Amino acid sequence: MKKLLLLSIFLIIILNASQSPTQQSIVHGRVLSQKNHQILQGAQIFLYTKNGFQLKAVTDSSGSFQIETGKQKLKLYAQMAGYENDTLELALSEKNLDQQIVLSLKSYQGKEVVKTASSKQPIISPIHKKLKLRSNNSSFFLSDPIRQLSSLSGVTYTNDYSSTLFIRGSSDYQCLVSFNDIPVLFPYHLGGIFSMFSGNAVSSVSFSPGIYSAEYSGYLGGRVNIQPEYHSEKNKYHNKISLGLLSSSIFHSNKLSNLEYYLSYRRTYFDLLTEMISSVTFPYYFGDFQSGFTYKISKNQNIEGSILHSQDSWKIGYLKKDNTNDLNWGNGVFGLNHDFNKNHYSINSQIFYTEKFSNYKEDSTLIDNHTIQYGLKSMFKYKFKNVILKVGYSYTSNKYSYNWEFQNNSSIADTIDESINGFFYPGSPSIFERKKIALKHEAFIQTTYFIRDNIKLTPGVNLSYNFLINNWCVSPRLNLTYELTEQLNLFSTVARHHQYFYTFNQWESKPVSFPFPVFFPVENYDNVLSSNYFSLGGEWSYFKNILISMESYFKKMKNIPKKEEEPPYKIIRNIKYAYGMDLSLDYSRQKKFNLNLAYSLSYLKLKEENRIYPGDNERRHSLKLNLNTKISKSWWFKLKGLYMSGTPYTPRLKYYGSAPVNNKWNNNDWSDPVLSPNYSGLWNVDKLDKNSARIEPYFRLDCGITKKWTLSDSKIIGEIYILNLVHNKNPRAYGYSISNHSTPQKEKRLNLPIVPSIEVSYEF
Amino acid sequence: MNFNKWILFSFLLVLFSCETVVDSQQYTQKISTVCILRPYLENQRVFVYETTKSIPDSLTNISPGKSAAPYFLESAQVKILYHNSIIPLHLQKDSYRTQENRYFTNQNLKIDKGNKYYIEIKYDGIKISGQTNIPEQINISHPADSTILDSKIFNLKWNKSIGAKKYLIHTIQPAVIFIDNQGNKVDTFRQSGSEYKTNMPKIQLNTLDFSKLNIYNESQFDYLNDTLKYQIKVMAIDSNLYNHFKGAKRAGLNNGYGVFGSAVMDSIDVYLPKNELIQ
Repeated sequence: MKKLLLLSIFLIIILNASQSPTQQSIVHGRVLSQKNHQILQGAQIFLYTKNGFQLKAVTDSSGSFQIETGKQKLKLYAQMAGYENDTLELALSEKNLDQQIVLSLKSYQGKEVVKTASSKQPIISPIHKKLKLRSNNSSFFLSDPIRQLSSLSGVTYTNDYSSTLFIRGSSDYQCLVSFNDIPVLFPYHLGGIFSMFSGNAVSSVSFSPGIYSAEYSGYLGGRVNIQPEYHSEKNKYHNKISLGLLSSSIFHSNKLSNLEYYLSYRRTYFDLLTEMISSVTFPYYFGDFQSGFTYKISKNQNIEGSILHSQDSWKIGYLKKDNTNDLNWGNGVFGLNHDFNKNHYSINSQIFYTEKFSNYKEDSTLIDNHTIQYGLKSMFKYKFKNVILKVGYSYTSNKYSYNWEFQNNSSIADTIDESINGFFYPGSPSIFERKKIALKHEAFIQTTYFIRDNIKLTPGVNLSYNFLINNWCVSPRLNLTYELTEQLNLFSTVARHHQYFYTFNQWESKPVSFPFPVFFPVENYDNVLSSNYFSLGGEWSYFKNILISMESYFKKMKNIPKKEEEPPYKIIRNIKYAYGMDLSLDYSRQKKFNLNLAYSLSYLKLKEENRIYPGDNERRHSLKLNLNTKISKSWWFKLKGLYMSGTPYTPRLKYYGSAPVNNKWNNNDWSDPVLSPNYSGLWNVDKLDKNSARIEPYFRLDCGITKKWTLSDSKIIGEIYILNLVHNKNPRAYGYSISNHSTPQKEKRLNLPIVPSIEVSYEF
Repeated sequence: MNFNKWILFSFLLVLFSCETVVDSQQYTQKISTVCILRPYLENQRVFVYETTKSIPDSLTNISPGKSAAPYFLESAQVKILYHNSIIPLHLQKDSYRTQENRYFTNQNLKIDKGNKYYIEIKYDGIKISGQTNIPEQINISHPADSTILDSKIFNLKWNKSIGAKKYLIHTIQPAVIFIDNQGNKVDTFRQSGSEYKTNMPKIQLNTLDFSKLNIYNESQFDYLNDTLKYQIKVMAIDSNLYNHFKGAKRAGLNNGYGVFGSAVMDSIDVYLPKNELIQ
C-alpha cells in the first residue's frame, strides 16, 4: 500500500489591498510544501459555493494562483497528489489584508474506505470499493475479510452462520473470489461460517458488485479480490502472534533488498486443547496457510508468487471412538505473476493452479472429490493520447473429478445426521463417479476513450471458446462515465456474462452452503448460465470527507439450475431477475472517525415454469452501519448495526387426514385401516406457495473496543468484541417437525445469540 | 444538483419502496376428507376436517397428542352416490377410551364389491367430489382357516381381485394365556371340547412393507416370533387408497386433502408350532 507522505501544505494567501470587500476581490497566493518550502506546481484550489466546492485555480510553475470572488467570507481548500488536503476559512476585510496564513495538515491512520478511482481515472462503478484492513480489526468475525463485505451495499447478509457471498441476486458460486487474482473455488470453512482468509495476512479487499471489466469472465455475480499483506519495511522484519477465542495465528514478513516475503498460519485449537486436558477430543479443526513473495527484478519488472492452502478436518465417529478417520476438505492455490511496466504500456502474465478437494476413506465409505483449475493468462495495457487499451489472452483447464461411495453403515451420515442419499445435493446418489475436463481459450479487448475531458466511454468484449460445449461465448461490456462536476460523476454500465459451471448445493432449509459443494461443468451450449446486466448510478463527493454513492441495477440471469427438493429430483433451469438500488455514504475524518452507512433496496424473482416467486435470501430492505472512532490515543471503539427485512420462506398448512409417515404403524395404533373402522389418517403439513411469507426482520448490534499498548519496539493489541449486543433472537428459518401422533410443530431456528470474543495480538 | 436534492430524491425513493413484506400468502380454507369404503364393515364412515391456517402463530396453539376433533366440520353436507341412489350421511359421535370420534354415516349405505361409488361434500361454498371402484372379493385359498401349520414357513395364496391395485397383508398375533377350569395354564393348541378364556389380550401388528408387493397369488413368510396363533388378513386396496399410503396429499378426490378409497378383505386363523407359552 502506498504510504501517504506526512507532509503539510502551506497555503499562503496574499490579499489584494486595492479591492474593496464589497466588490469583486482577487485573491492570489502560493502553495509551498511544509518540509522544505518547495514550490508546488499543479495544486488544485477549490472555493466553497452554494453548489459545494468548485475548482477555481491550479498553481502554476511558481506555485502561484489567483481567484476572483465577490464573497466576503471565503472557504478554500487545496489538494495535490501525495499531500494531505487542507482547508482555510477567512473573512475578507482591510484588517487581514496582506496576512500570511499557515495551515498545518494532520496525517491519519486506521481503517478507511477509499475510492479506488478519482474523477480523472476510468470509473467502472462507484460502488467498487477497496477495503483496507488493519491490525486493529483482528477480532472474531471482524478478522474475516469476506464477512466484512457483508457490511457493504450490494452484498446480501444471509445469516450469522454464513459468510458466503450473495451479491445482487447471484449465489456464492456465481461470484468470483480471487486471491491475488487467482480464482479460489470455494473459499469457506464449515460450509461458509468463515472464509479461509486470515485478516492478519490480508492487506485489502477489492469488491465490485458486478464484473464490469472485460478482463474477467466466467462468473455472473460480483468480484472480490483479496490482496495479501506484507507489512514490511526495508531490512526490517515484522512478526505478529494472535491468540483468540476461536483461533490463533502467526505472521512473519521481511524485506531484504528487492525481495519481500511473508508467511502466515492460522489454526483453531479446540482439538489440541481438549486432547491435552480431557479424554474426549474436539473432533474438528481448520487451518490456513498463506505465503507470498515479491521480487523486484528491475525498475520496471516485478515477479510475485502466492500460495494459499486451507484445510478443514473432521474426525468421523469420534463419539463412537471406534473410527477416527478424518474427513478432510479445503482449497489449494498457487500463482506466479510477472509484471513489466514501461511509460505507456505494461505486460502482466500469470500462471496459476487452484483446487478444491474433499476426501475420506473408511471401510464402507469413500469420498475422493477434486475440482481443479490451472492455466496461464497474459494482459497487455497501453496508454496513448486519450485512449487506454487492454488486450489479454488466457488458457485454462478445468478438471471435475468426483468419486464417492456410501454403504448403509456410513459413519459420516451418523455423525452429520444426514441421509446418505442426498448427502451432496438433493437426490445425490450413494455411489457416484464422474470425470470431466473442460479446456477454455479466452481473449478480451477493452478500451477507454476520453471523448471529452469529462466523458469517458469504455467498451470491451470477452471472447471464450469452451471445448466441452464446443462453442464460442461472447461477453460484451460497455461503460459510460460522465463527470458532471468535480464532485459529481454519473455512469452507466451494460454487460453480458457467461458461466460454465454450477452446483446444486443451495438448500432452502439449510443455513449454510453444504461444506462439500459439487461443481458440474456445463456440457451443452444451451445450458450455459448467462446474465444481462444494466446499471445506472452516480457518485458525489461532499466536502472532502463525505462520499455518497448510488447505483441502481437490473440483472436477468438464465439457465440457473436447481434440483427439485422431492423425488425424482428433476433439474429445473430458472430465470432469475435481480434489481434494486444500492446507496452508501462514507465519511472519514482523518484518523479519528470513520463511518459507513449502506442501504439496499433489492428484489429477486425466480421464474420457474409458469410461476414467479421471490428468491431465497431476498432482503427487500437492508440498512447497515459501520462506525470506527478513536476515543483516545490508544483506544478505538467500534459499532456495527444491521437492520434488514426478513428473507422469504415457504409456509406450511396443517391438515389431518394424511397417511402415516413412512407407512409404519406403531403398536396399538387404532388408525390401522385393517383394524379400525375409525381410520381418519394423521397430521401432516403441506407446502403453500413457494416463498410467499417472510421471516421477521433481522436486527443486530455489535460493539467492540480495541486497546493498543506501544512498547519500545513492539506493540500489544487487545480487543473485546460483542456480537449481538442486545441478544436479539433473530430467526433464520422455520422447521416443521412431523410425527405420526402429535400435531406438527413449527420451530424457529435462530441466528447467533450474544457472542463475546477476545483477542490479543503481539506485534514486533 | 446539490446535496439537498440528492437527499430528497433518495428519501422519496426509499419512501415509495417501503412496504409491509410479511406473510403475503393469502390463506384459502381447505377441507380434508377421509373415507374408506369397506364392504366388511357394518357402518361406513366419512371424516371431514378443516385445515388450519398458515399464519405462523396459529400453528403452535395445538398441544401435541390432541386429536383433530376440534377441526371436524360438523355442519358439512355429505352424500354417497352409487347406481342411481343418493345416500345422505348424518353426523355421529361416539368415544372409545379417551378418543372422541365424529364421523358421518348412514346405516342404509351398503357397499357392493365390484361397483363404483361417488362422494359429494359441501361446506361453506366449497364442493368436493370423488370416486372409487370397490375391488372384487378376495379369498385366501391357502392355508385353510384354522390350519395347524407344521412350519414357520408356508405359502399364503389368494385370488386376484379385479379392481385392486395392491394387497396389504397383516398378521395379528394375540399373546393370550389359556386357562382351564382348574385355573391351570394349558397347552394352547386348539383342542375340541375345551373351554378357554383369555385375559389381557395384546395385539401386535406386523405390517409388511406392501410397497414391495405386486399382485401375488402366493407368497412365503418367515416368522421369527414363534407364538401361539396368527390371524392373517389380506386386504385388496384400490388405487386411491394405495396412492394415499404412498404419500399423496389427495387421492380419489378433486379438491382439498385426504382420500376416498375402498378395500375388501379376507382373514384366516393359523396355528404355529411353539415351544413355550407367551405370557
